[in-house]
Amino acid sequence: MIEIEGLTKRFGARVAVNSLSLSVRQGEIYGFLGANGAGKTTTIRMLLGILAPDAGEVRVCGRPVRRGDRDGRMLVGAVGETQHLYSDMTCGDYLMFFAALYGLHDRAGRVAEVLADVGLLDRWSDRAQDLSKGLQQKLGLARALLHDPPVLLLDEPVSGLDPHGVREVREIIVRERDRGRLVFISSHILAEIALVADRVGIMQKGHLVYSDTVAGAIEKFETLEKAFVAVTRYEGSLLDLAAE
Amino acid sequence: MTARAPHVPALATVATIARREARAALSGLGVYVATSIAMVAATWLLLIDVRALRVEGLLVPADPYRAPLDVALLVLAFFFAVSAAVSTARDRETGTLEVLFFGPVDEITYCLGKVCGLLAVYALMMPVLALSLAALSLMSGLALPGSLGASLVFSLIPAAMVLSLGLVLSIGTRRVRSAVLILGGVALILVGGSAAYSIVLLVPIENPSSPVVALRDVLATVNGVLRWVSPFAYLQRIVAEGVAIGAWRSAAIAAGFALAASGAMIVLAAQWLRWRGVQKAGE
Repeated sequence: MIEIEGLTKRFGARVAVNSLSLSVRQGEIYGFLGANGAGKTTTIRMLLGILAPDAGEVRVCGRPVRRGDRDGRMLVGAVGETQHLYSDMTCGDYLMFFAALYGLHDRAGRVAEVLADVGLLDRWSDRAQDLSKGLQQKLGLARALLHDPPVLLLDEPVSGLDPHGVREVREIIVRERDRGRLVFISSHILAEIALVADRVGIMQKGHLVYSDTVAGAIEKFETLEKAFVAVTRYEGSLLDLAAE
Repeated sequence: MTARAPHVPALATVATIARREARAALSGLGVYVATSIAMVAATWLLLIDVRALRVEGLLVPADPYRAPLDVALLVLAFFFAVSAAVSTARDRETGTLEVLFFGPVDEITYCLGKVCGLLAVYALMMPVLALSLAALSLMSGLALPGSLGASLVFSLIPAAMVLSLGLVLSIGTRRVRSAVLILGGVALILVGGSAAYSIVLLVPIENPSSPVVALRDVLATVNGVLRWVSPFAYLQRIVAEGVAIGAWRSAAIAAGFALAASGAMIVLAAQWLRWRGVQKAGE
């Protein structure tokens, strides 16, 4: 479970995330939406303990996230928009390296398992950097799943992928949710989030301006896109918009 | 309810990063080229003595391997400092640094892993250097000093200090090129200061009011400071002026300082990295 309470992060005078509070349950896909610069990636970095918040608190599976908490990162698997792979490693080498970092015992067995899970088992000996963007994204997912974490944090996981890549990544995300993982996806691809997410939150200029189930948002606004446009064209919250 | 996170010992993380670093260094050409350059420089210096002995009948120094070994170790140490700087700056430039921190890695394990991995490769090059010097000894007929083994082993300490310098200087940079330029500049100041003093000492002084005297005094002060702060000077103090001539006490004191300085630089690098963050350059 993820619990965020009053989370705030400033970069100089700019407030990247402003008093963000939300919670996500286990076995749920949470779509964290927002335009570029809305504060999504900053939030994910704070969830990972890579960035320290200026105020507020984050708990993952009940454990407070602290900067540099190595053990806390064992509860989370994270995938960024770009995989930033090592140029000298094959897919197998790459995952074996991370399996060693995670202190796994049967490394080769686990690497084979996650590679098979994401459909890359036959790519074990291929140079990771030579893979297409879609396959690199799947390799990133395999890395995030290696240590079997209860929480997956995905930052723009389908950005820049072709339709086949998008569908394959979507299938993996849904399958992992069905296996009981909490999946927190930051994205600005609304159609994709509408297909996979159970609940959504919309960020604008560091504020969470809307939060609802996907079904609830669609019921109110017809589509997630309309919800997004309606909420983000307005500086305040949805309640203010409704009052207006 | 708070979930119990599996624990990975910090040393295991350091070892994994070190193994990765060592493997990457050994799979590149750089380390072999640097070792070859170190040996060519050592051979050239030794040949000067051999020529003096055979052609001109002059006496050679008591330890003809001292200067060749000094130069070979200096070349290697500098190469490994550059490797540490390049490897760390490249991690940031390519974005692999942040991905590494998605796992159970923190700043201190990362910095220690980098230094330990490259130091292990430096240690692997020592037998290569010893064998090359042994081959030179066979060819030249000049016996190897008995302290060679100890000199090579003790050179690991100042090498760790030089590596830590490369690491700490690269943390503040965004690009590989900047890291190399900054390290090159700092090394030039550190080595150049001592070299300038040695050169000025060779200038004959005919008049006590000559500006060379004042320059010599200034450079003597600079050199005195550099002997305590420059990692390259510790290479000289521990190996050439310590172990090689049996001055174990002064070697031990210098080694103690070098170890403490290495530790301090690694901690500084980790703190600086914590302050700067691990995001890719430009993000």
